[in-house]
Amino acid sequence: MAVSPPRASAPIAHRVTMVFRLVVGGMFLVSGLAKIADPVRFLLTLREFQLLPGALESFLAVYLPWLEFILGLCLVLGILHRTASLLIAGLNGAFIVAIGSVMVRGIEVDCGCFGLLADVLHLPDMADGKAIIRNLILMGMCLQIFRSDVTVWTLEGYFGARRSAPP
Amino acid sequence: MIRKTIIEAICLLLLALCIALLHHSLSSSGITIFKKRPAARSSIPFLMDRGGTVHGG
Repeated sequence: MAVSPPRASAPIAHRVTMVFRLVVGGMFLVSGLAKIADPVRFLLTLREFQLLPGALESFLAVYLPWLEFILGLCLVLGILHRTASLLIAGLNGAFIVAIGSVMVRGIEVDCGCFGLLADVLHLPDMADGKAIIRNLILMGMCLQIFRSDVTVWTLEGYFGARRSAPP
Repeated sequence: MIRKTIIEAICLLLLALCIALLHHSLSSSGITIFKKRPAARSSIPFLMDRGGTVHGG
């Protein structure tokens, strides 16, 4: 019986996935915190998009920052990280649709991606093609995290190894 | 596998919802988690119109 040689690229793929996890998780963690710190600014940004009814805008201004923060935390710590990456990919898809719609309608708005941090760190925060490309890249990273079943440097992997270890 | 992912996703969404509502109710009653910056407003009045005017609050 032929034995397939060990894949030398596997550890590199693991490291790449881990870097993706930390990058995407870190970005969502920080941007979520920045929005939690000033939800009214985020609400006003949502209103500039002119996409949703007022009550839903208010709800999302309270809910989305915490969702981003928790999903980012899950990715960074490696708790339910595959599910979190799938949800973040879905969020990125929604952001792409929203930014695309304001571009089509010719409305110039801030994308609100980084909240307060955009002012403090002078980050690019316009709802334009660059924001769509950034979201597409993040989406690709999330799908790679979901596709790979790597539990290296995750709390899930750590506790799983402890559970399966003999006493 | 798909079922497990869906259940985990619902749990994460509900967890975020609970924390968001808790934070909103705390900040509405004047308890803030973050130190307020001068420009930052920590609570959203739900009856604020598009012009920023608060009704019935």
